[in-house]
Amino acid sequence: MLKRYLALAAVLLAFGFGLHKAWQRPAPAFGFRIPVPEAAPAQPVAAAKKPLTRKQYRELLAEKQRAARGRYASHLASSRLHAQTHASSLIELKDGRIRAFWFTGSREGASDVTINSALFDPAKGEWSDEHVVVDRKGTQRALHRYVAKLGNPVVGRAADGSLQLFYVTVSLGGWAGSSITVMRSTDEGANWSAPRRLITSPFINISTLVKGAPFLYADGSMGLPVYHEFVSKFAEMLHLDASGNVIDKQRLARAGQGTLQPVVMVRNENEALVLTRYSGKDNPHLARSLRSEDGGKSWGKVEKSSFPNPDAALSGITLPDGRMLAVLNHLEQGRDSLSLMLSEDGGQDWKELHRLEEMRVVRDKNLDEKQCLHIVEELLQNSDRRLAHAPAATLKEYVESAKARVRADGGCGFEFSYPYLIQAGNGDIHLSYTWNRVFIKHVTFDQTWLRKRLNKESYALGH
Amino acid sequence: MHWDTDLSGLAGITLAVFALLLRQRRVQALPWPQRMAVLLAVLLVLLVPVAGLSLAGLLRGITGDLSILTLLFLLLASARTLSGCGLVLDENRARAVQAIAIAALLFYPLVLGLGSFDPYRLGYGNLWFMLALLGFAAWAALRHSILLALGIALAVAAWSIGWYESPNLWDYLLDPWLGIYALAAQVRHWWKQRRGTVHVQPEP
Repeated sequence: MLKRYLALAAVLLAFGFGLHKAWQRPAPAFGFRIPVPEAAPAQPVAAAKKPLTRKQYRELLAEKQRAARGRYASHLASSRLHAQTHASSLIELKDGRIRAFWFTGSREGASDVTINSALFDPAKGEWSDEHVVVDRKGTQRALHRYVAKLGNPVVGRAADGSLQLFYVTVSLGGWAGSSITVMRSTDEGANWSAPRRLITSPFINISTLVKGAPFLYADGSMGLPVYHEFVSKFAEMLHLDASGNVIDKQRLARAGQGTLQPVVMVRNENEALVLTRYSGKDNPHLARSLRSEDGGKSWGKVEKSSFPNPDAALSGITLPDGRMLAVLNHLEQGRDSLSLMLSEDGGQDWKELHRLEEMRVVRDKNLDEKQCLHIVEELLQNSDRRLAHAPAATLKEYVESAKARVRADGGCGFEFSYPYLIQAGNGDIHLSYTWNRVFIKHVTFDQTWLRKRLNKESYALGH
Repeated sequence: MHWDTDLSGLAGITLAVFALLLRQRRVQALPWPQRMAVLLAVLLVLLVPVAGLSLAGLLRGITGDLSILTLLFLLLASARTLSGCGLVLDENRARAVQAIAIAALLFYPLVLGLGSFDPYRLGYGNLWFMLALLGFAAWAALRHSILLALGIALAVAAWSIGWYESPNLWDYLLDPWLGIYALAAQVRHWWKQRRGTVHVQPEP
């Protein structure tokens, strides 16, 4: 019996420490933080006003006309050739530039995949060359454990202003064996801390993946929408404290509901909409949605959205006026069409505002290689005006890079997928997405362009 | 860099390899000095990094960090092998394994998506969960299995000091390897019971 009392004493002592820790630990706070648009970075001001020359006057006039039409431009954010490139994410830096991240390598899941980044300067309308942020071996060394491959990177800004780069790492099996690793940067992404593993699952810490953009709760803690793929697929929400430690995990949907890659669209302090990719078997194949009306403390039941989803990632944001924008493959099968969608009623109904990409027309056409590559060449030139003026040899290299994927099955198949949408402080919208798994395409438009699309849509609908 | 939690994770893996190694009849047959030499050699092989990664790190990538209860069972197994007699009575151990098997059977289906309730969420310092676990551990100490009670106590203590990277108490209590072992042991026990060949050492 003495042994039993000694064991009880040990239990009481250990739980004394445990309960003290649990008691000291602040409870996860809920309530969403509304992103406050920051003032646009100051534009250089001319030293003194001089009378305009005729040429300057013409340029000024043209600029005003362009501004009245609205600005819509596209570029290729990635510049690496002959590689597979996928799953981009974006963040606006404090100086107004946009930084993008994606993964790239000889193929998805290969051990040579790296997380790369590039910078977009809105004033120049140009992307910098891409550079490697982190690779598999560096991650493995820092984590002191085997890492087989890297995947989706997602970037967010913590309440203290630092950037946090979350990315998927796999040690065991396929993507269902993923864990999340995080790095922090206090200099806008120029340098990064050593990678650190987030422990988020009790099953060998596998099967937590990230795709959707992080968001902040009112107390400065961070919400990270994630998803689980091992045995069953469902969406989850991680709650990280200001130091980046996991303090809570919520299940957004149960197994069998096919919810993947949740995207959170915060409407106000209490309300948020989550859209998810649908990987189930129900027909029609519609995206799924769920809502919170208590600042993320609880989430409602999973509902069918009003738009189709071909088991593909989507992205969305809430505009300051409450309307919502989403980018997705607006079809039940395939990823060869990408649409900009708008909801004016908090995510109940969605209408297509603009077709960003449309290649369904070539699906069943029996195009030969020459015809297919001609289309690829035109698409590339339309995607980035630099390529339209590039030497023929450069353009040919880009076409050859794309050929490996577009003609992978001997046909002519296109893929526009994994969109990532953000709004910059000056109101401009930036979108990045995977272009045929060989490049990351960046599309940006301003509020004038958006307004004109809205007016056109209203007119078309007879409003 | 989280050296402290990396070291504790790698130490756990090393302990597991040692315990498995000591179970090998060939190693058991070696004289003491040679047995120590083998263990030292294995220690070097496990912990010295080659191309930036040690063998223990490689294994850690596959197994994850082992729960405190797993380490406790491995330690007891090693002690039994080295000393030739068990530190814990078979019945005490069997009861602990039975409780772990039941916990694993309930826990893993739920955390892998069955239903809307995720018990793993309770492990982030939920006070009610801690109090319930305290009650269970106290009952185990007085009425069920001292080994189980001490295992839970050690797990809670390790969680309190942040022994591993994980901020979740469940990762200190249970891991899939322990769950699989406990379930397999229960099935084996049930099978032996059916055949009437179970002989447990009764408690005094």
